[in-house]
Formats: sequence, C-alpha cells, structure tokens
Amino acid sequence: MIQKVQSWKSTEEAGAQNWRNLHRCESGQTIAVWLGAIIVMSSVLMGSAYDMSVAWMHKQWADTAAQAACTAGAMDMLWAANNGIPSTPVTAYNFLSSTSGDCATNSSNAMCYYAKLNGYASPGLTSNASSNDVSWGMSTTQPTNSNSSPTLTTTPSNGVPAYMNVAVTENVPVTFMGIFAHLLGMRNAWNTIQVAGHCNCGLEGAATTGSPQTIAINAGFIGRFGDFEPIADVTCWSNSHCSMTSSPLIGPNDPVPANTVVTVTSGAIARGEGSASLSGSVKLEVSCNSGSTWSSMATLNVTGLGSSSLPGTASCTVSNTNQIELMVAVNLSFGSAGPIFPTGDSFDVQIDGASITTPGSSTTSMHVTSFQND
Amino acid sequence: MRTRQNITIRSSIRTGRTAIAAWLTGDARGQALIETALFSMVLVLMMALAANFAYVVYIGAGITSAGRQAATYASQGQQAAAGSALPAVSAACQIAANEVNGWAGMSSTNWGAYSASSALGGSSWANTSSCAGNSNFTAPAYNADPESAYFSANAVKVSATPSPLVNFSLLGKKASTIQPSATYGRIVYMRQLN
Repeated sequence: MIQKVQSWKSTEEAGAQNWRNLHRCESGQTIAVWLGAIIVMSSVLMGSAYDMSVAWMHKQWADTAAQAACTAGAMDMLWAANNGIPSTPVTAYNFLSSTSGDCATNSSNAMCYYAKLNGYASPGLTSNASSNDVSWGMSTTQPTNSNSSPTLTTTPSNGVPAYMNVAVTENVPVTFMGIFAHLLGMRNAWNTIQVAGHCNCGLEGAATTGSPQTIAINAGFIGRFGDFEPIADVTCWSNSHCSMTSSPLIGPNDPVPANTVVTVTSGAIARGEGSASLSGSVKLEVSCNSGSTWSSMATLNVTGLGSSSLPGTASCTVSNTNQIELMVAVNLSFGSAGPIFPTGDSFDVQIDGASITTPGSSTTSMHVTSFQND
Repeated sequence: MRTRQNITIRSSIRTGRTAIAAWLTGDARGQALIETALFSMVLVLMMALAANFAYVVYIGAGITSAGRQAATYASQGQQAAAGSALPAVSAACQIAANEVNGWAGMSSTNWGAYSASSALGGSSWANTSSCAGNSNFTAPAYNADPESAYFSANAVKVSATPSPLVNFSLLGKKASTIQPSATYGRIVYMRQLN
C-alpha cells in the first residue's frame, strides 16, 4: 500500500514536472503569434495604403487631364460662337456637329489632343491591365450643381451647345493588393483599380444675337491692256507674255473684329476686244490681312477675246487688322498676235461690285469656365 | 540618503542586466520587456517610413494641384476683374509658386515652377517664366496647339525633390541618406483663345 502511494506520488511529481516543462516551452508563443499577426496585418494595411495612394494620385492626374480636355473643347465652342459658325477653325479637328465621342475611336479633336498632352492617350480600357479612355459629350443645359452666373440660357446663335463634359477613366495597376488577391486565390481580381476624373465646362456670359452684316465694296475699274489706255507700268509691247496685278481695292471702313471669319462675294467682268489671239488666266483674289495671304475667289481661263464674267465667293479670317482687300491678277499670253498687242485691240477687267458678310452674332462677352471638376 | 539612491540605481541596472541575461540564456523572466522594446523600435521605424511616404504622396498631389491651378489661370483667367487680357506667363507661374511656398520641407533649392505659352502659329514657346524656387529645374517640353493659328498652348511645370519629413536615424545613418531621393515633376497643358 505504502509502495503504491509512493509510486502514485512519484507519478504525480513527474507529471507536474512535465507540465512545468511544457509550460516553460510555451512561454513566448503568444508574442510570436501576435508578432506574426501584426506583421501580416501591417503588410496588408501598408500595401493597400500604398496602392490606394498611387490610385489617388492617378485620380488627381485624371481630374487635371479632364479639365484640360474640357477647356480645350470649350475654347473651340467659344471660337465658333464668337464667329457665328458651327465649326472649328480647322475642319480636320471639327467635333461641333457631334453630341458625344470617345477618343479611342476618334481622336481628331482638341479634347483628345489635350488629354494626350496631359498623359492620357486613350487607347481604350482593357480589363485588368493598365489602360485609359477619354470620352466627352455636349449639352445645351448647364450642369445642375453649378452655381456659375450669369448662365447661358439659350444656345449660342451658331446652334452649337454651350456646355461640355469630359470623363477620363483609367485602370491603375496595383502592386500589393494584386499579390494579396493572388494569395487568396483570386487571380486577376485586383490587378487594377479603376479611377475616373470628370469635368463639366462651357461658356458663360451674355450671348447677344445680331443680324449678319453686309458691307459693300465700291465697284472699281481695275485695269486695261491695249492701245487705247495702256497702263504705264505694264510692258505689253515688247513681250509675248503680259502680267498685271492691280492695286488692292480696300474696304470696308466699318470695323470687323479680329478673328472674325468673313465671306466676300464679288462679281467681275473680263472683256477683250479686237483681233488678237489671247490665252491665260484672270484671277480675282481676296485678302483679310493686308495682302499677307491672298485667297483665290475665282479664276477665268482666257482662250480668246470676248466678255466673260468672273463671279467668286471666298471666306477668310481677319486676324490682325480689319482691312479687307480685293484685287485682280492677270496673266496673258499672246498667240498669233505676236509680241506686240495689235492696234485697236484691248483687254480689261472690271469689278462690278463686292460685298463682305460678317457673322451674325456678337458674343464677345462670353468666356470659358469650368463648372465642376471631380 | 546618497547610499540608498546608489543602491536603487544599481538595483535597477542589475534588474535590466538580469532581464537581458535571462533572455539570452532562455530564461523567460524579462522576455516581454525585451520583446516589447525591440518590437517598438520596428513599429516606430514603420510609422516614420509611413509618414515619409505619405509626405511624398502629399507633395505629388500638391504639385499636380499647383500646376493645374496655374494652367487654368493662364488659359481662363483675366489680368483684372474687368479686364479682357489673359494673364502673363509670369503671373501664372506665380500662382504655382504661391501654392508650393510654405509647404513643410520645401526650400528654395528643392522645388521649382516654370510657366510657358506659345504664340499663334509659332514653333516654340514664345514666353517662358521661371518664377521661384530652384531655376535649374527644366522647362516643360514644347507642344503646339493642333489649331495653332487660332489658339495658344499653355504649359505649367512644377517640380519638387522632397526631403524626408521625419529624418530619423537608423544605425547612425539619417533617413535622408537611406531613403532614395527622387524628383517629381508634373506638367499641365491647357489651351487659350487669344
């Protein structure tokens, strides 16, 4: 019995010793578990924070690109409204006849160009890959949450809406969140985060509407070749070729605002009399900028004597001056008549009259503004 | 009295030494103290790194915002409330400079602002202005407006090389020498109707 008790005591002591040893081996396990958990949680939090910070930066860039693109489009709208026409100055970049568009499919406009300058070339969105897309739309109504004043309540007289919105959407690649997703078995679940920047912009101010102006240029006699009233500075007598450029016919005196597109319409008559055989051309040309650039309104190919009309219409833009000029350029060759214009023959050009039409609306008080950007 | 203080200090030192010695010899006594001390150092280091990273993000967002505001002013702003003339490039540049001035960690040597605009039909920047900060930062790359006969392009570039906000020391080395130094620049292009 005593032996049994001693044996039991011995077993109990041995168990207690083992328990103490076991307990001693477990010391520090809790801190190890906590340390591991904290490291994992910190990694997840810091990794996610890094990725979200990068995404937030891209969001700022997308906002900026959206504002730049929207402003660029609104500048075209302002130019068109000021000039009373429904088109951009360079027709290759005209978008004003559309109501919406996407730069991935049509990038020939100012919005897409400026979005690209600001880092968004808009190849189109690709799922789970770094990509971006720029889209835009036009509207006749101001965004409801804007408080800009005064508000354009009517469409400018050129018929083009006064408001525009641009959206820049980007799939931003993420690093750590993608790794976590992979570890959790969600392949491709977090390769990218989609961010978007928006901007509403447009024209504000007063849109005054007026009637188109028509300003007449007085008809004028331009010049004459021949033996009746030869022009002194044209040497037609010793050459088989004769050319002449008239002095510009200047008009109008009424001021035309800079950057205004004007349409010039004119009619003229080229008239030859006599027996000479003539060939060549007579051109009616117009310039909006004091002769720096002449646009051909009409060209008449002369193959013989007689009377032919020279009607013509051309548009040009007044940039630095309100002076609009009209002139005639004559380029003739003598045929069988030889180098000397025969006595009794004549050739002259006369402008019957010309008129200049300016746009109907005067909207110079309008300007571009960004209503909303987020 | 003095003897009692010495005894107390010696006792404390002995306790610390004992804790370290116990920890090194596998004794559990003082283990939590040592682990907490070591782990606190790692935590503090991680917090400092997080603060410095946040500061870089802040600078990056700030220079984007500064460039955007300056470019908006250049393309839409007026010289005066009743005026019709667009502001000069120097005025637009100053908008960006005003944004950056006063940021923590920014001095005249580690940031710069540059504003430029093109003339109608031009082939290079017609007007440029390096308004404040370090003028060694380069000008924005030239890009013409697609309808350059009628519109001008404006560009504002803001650059910064931020120093660590928390310049901690690790093994005798400052964070400014440990962390990689980089220059962040952002160019904003906007259009104006002359």
